[in-house]
Amino acid sequence: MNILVCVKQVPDTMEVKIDEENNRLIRDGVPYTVNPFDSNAVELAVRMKERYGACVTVLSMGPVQASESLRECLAVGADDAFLISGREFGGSDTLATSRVLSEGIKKIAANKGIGAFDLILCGRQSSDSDTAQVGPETAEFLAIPQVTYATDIEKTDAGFIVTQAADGRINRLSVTAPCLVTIGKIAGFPRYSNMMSKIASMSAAVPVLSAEDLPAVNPETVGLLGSPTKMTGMQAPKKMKSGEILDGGMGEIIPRVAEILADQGFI
Amino acid sequence: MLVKKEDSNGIWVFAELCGGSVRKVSFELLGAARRLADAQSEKLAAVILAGDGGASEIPEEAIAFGADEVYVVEGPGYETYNTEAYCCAIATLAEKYRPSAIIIGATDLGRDLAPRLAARLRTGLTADCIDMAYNSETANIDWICPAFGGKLIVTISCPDSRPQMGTVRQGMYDLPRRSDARRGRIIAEPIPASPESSLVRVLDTVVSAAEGPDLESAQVIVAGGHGMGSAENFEKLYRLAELLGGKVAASRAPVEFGWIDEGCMIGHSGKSVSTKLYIALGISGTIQHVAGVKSDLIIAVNKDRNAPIFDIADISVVGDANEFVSALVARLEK
Repeated sequence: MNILVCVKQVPDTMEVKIDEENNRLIRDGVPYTVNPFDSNAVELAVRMKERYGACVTVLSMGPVQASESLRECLAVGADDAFLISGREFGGSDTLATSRVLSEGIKKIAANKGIGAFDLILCGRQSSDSDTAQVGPETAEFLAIPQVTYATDIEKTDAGFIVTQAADGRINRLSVTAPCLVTIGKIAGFPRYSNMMSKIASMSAAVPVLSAEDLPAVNPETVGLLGSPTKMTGMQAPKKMKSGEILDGGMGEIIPRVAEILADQGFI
Repeated sequence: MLVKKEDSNGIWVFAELCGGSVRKVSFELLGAARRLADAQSEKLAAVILAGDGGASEIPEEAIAFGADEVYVVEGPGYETYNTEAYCCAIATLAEKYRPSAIIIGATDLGRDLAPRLAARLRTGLTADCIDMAYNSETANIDWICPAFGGKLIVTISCPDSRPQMGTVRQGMYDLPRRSDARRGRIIAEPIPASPESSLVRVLDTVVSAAEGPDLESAQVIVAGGHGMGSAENFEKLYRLAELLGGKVAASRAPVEFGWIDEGCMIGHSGKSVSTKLYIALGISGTIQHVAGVKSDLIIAVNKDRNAPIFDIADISVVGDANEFVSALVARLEK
């Protein structure tokens, strides 16, 4: 079985700085991590590899430093990693990103000589943009069925049985392979890497696919200009109330907090 | 299919059914979309998909809540939600009637359907909007949504491709006034369910009960983090919650330490809550945690003056969370 997991590198911080000239995220000096739901997806893929036997490929799209996040995935059990990177792809919205990812997935499958990946996993949404759109949009470009909000996957002869937690219900769905599944909460937590696997991942090759490697991608349909949606404005959310800071001793703090709770009718 | 701006007309709202009736968010969106339609002199339509006879009185209801037209697709394959069946039917309608916008509730179902449909129509989609406005200068809809875990509010537009699409959260708009005197046109559209819809089948479905306490509807939440220090200290939160009529929850660390069950975890990989009072005790406030918190009043207690939780707090207490809990419990017990 061949599994591919799409992984996004996201800021590991609350501090978000925007370049006012081009409305883009300032990435310099910001700590990055693997999007938490993507970590769940990688964990589930590695558990399936342990249970059924599988080759787990991780794929990301982003700037060159996103290869660091791919190495983190290699250190916890992924077998190989690819990064789609290039100036042409910068500023892509979800539709353009999905277009590029789907072509990258086809290209990697062709290079591996496997026809198609049996299972493609994505985190259900990213922690920085939160859209939950890239999974289903990628499934559409690949013309394969999708299941979202999955918590677990079992392999069957014809495909998979996916447990889905959505709209307050737990559904069990059967889906044929190949398919794309987006992962939400999973049982337990993603494993940590150990020192040996971490060291090994540092020297692992992470091949980069550039625009030239993906000739099927029409350059006019990707990147900032090729994206159908445009960000036209940005503002800080209004604070509901001005934050009050209490930093004296508890003898001072507690009466004030009790007063606020009483004023608002909580006690 | 690529539809040009000038060739499109009409605003559509997908009416999501749940147990035979329309979800509240769909009616809220009919009200908001009515104002958009009036601002740009276009018609407002509702789209309903249901099993044979399943639409029942819903088209009339949609008209009473503001729709000028209602497209009804009824038949086998639409009784329960199926991504491919629903996507294919709405795409078929959109290709026939070329709406300028399609608005969908940001429910789990809506956020499964909308991106699949947007990709099929090769158009732009904005996720999880909190507001929409017609921009008369650009003749586009401005989609307003939070970004970066709510740190920023951004405006997204879809200037060239049609339909413009967005998912919008529940509770952003009041229910429109219902007027049974309103008249509208009901258009039955027999579209057989796509054969590919059989690739995904529901085997069974249960209302999820083993998901921990119902934090989603709690008015008061007392949440503890790493800074509570120990399982024993963490136990004190239950007394504080009791005194405030609330529930106990946690950030990720206490779950990992085994102080509390996973079903009580708030944040991206846990639950999203919307409370009147949220007390965050010894929680640093990672973006993953605060993404799950919405509250009228947030009181945060942390030793670290620079903890990011203070960015979203109304009352920032710089001090030891455990000491704070003991002192507040003592005060409230008096």
